[in-house]
Amino acid sequence: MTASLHSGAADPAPDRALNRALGRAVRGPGFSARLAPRALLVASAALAVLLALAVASICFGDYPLRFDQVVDAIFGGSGGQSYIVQRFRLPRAVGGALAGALLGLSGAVFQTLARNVLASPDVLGVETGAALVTVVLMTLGLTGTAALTGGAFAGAAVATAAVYLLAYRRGINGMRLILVGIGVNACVTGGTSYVLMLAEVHTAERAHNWTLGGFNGLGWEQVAVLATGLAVTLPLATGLAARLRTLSLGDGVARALGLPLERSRLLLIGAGVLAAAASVAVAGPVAFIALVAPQIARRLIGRPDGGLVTSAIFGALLAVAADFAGRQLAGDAEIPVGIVTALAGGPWLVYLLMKRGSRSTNG
Amino acid sequence: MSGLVALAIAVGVVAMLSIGVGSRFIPPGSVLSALFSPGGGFYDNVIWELRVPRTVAGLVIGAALGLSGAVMQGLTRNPIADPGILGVHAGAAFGVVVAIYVFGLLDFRAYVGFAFAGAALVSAAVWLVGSRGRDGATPVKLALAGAAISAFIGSATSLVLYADSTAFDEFRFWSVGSLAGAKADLLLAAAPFLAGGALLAFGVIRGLNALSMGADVARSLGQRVSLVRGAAALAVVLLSGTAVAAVGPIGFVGLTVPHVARALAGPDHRRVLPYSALLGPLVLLGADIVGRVVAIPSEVQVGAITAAVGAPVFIWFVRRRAVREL
Repeated sequence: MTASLHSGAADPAPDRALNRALGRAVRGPGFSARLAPRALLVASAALAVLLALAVASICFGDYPLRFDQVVDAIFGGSGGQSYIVQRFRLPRAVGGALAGALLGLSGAVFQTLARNVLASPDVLGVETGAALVTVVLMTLGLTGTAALTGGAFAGAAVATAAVYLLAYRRGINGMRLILVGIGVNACVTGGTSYVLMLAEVHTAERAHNWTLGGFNGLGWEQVAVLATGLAVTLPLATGLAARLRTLSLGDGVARALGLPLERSRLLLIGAGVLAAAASVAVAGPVAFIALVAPQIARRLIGRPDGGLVTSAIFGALLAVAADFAGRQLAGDAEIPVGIVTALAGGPWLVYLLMKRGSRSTNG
Repeated sequence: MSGLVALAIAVGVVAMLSIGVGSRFIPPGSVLSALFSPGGGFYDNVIWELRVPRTVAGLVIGAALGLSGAVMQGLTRNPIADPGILGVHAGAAFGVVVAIYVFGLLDFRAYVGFAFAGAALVSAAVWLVGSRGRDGATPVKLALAGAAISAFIGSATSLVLYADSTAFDEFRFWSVGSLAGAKADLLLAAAPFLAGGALLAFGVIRGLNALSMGADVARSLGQRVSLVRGAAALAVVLLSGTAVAAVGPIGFVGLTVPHVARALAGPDHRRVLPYSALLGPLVLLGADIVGRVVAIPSEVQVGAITAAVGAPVFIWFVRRRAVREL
């Protein structure tokens, strides 16, 4: 079983293929950098698709716009069209992309850290923790944006910290982390159901809808919060990426290589929680993006850790695509983005489990 | 045997407590006189209309949850198996929501079939996904499959609730898990399913004992393994599907009770099953009584109590032993 526990980061790829994926070193006087053509290609292709999807999601809607109208509306312009674009559709597209990017980044950090492809902020309690606090606040009548955002953020952080601490026992075992997460999630979800039942029916319905995740209320204020979150966590995480790669070799190797183990891990967990919590606090819980995005990145790049930036780009891509699909699929109504991602991501997770199940050999 | 008798007495005491304790406390003397010589007593109405059906529900549903947990843990050879963890609750909930929303069925007898169908489908899917591979259905794989499929089915449920606010309003009261709404006719409707499930559970005892040594040993002992597994799974679906449809998803009773039963009675299912059937009502009624007194004059639903107490127990198992065995 140990083999499959750690299969997340340890695909036995032939050395040459791995080296090609990691790229070749470019050295000049006073600097050295790694050039990875495949990763760059994948990342820029994903960015292009993301951009196209975002434009499409701005064009389509109750009031369809042509491409040139959208471009006009974004760069100046006035009147109804630019009001729709600048006030509603653009912040929704940008905010959705940022929320997805934060989730993708967080998922990549946790999956590499726990050396387990199933470790994502969803499993670690970020979403259920945020949902519980938000539902409580809404029931108490505290519906201001600042209170809700702050509360959801705190709930996410506390729940994740609880899962991590409860799973800590002479180090972290990826599977124990996930199982403890399942237990804590069950408990917190029970609390959420209870509060939803106490609340007055309209409040309960609004609160329940929040727990489904959604980008439709996003304005520039929320976009600013999301952008700040990404501006803090992306540099932090990429700055620590080398440590992350060393950590993914296992605690023993990392310690032998002289890495300050607990401090590095704590910093990385902080970055991961911060990213996921910022996204959930603003846009509500959007399931499975954090789980799926890093894996798509990993598969396409052919590199064990997938790369943090690429994972973030794929997270944004998935979020915008799911939001777009949720608006188009149901005719007049709109399916919340969290439901779209869960319905699409669930089968993916099942497929993953079945594949892992048939691969692991020693029990 | 003496252990079973002691447990039965304890269940009787808790049942009396459950009739006496509530937002209005009824002295034991009045409880007894209302029960055994009804007619004319001041408390007769409260006792026969509210407290007795609720207590009977606690006894029956508790026994069903305890039994289904014991059979499930025996069937999957998995110390952290629980109808909630393995997706049975989510499946039954989805069935109920579909029945309410799509078919407009509001009567228990009408939607219990949907609860069974949902519970059976999801259990089968979880087993199918969790048992792939050469090492079979390890506890971790089953728990993961349960969590994944629960999340998927749960979001389908959410989609229906998002579209229909009437269904949401029904659902939010049901989804906490409470004995308070149990009425005599509901219990009568549920009784045949629960009895069938219990009979099946006690019928597969020998098979479960053989299975606990592994499928190969069971086969060489003359057990028809797939028949035993099928019957045991059907028992779980009947017991926990009915329980969920009747009173809502009540988690962690099915997880913890069999562990206590094994600690008291040893690993033999001939003893584990009766112990679980008595410990289940003890735990469920105990939790229900606690829920009635912690927030007087209002009350906390029993599902919230079992989640708050049961989740730490689950985590303790995971920390202490489960993972070592995986």
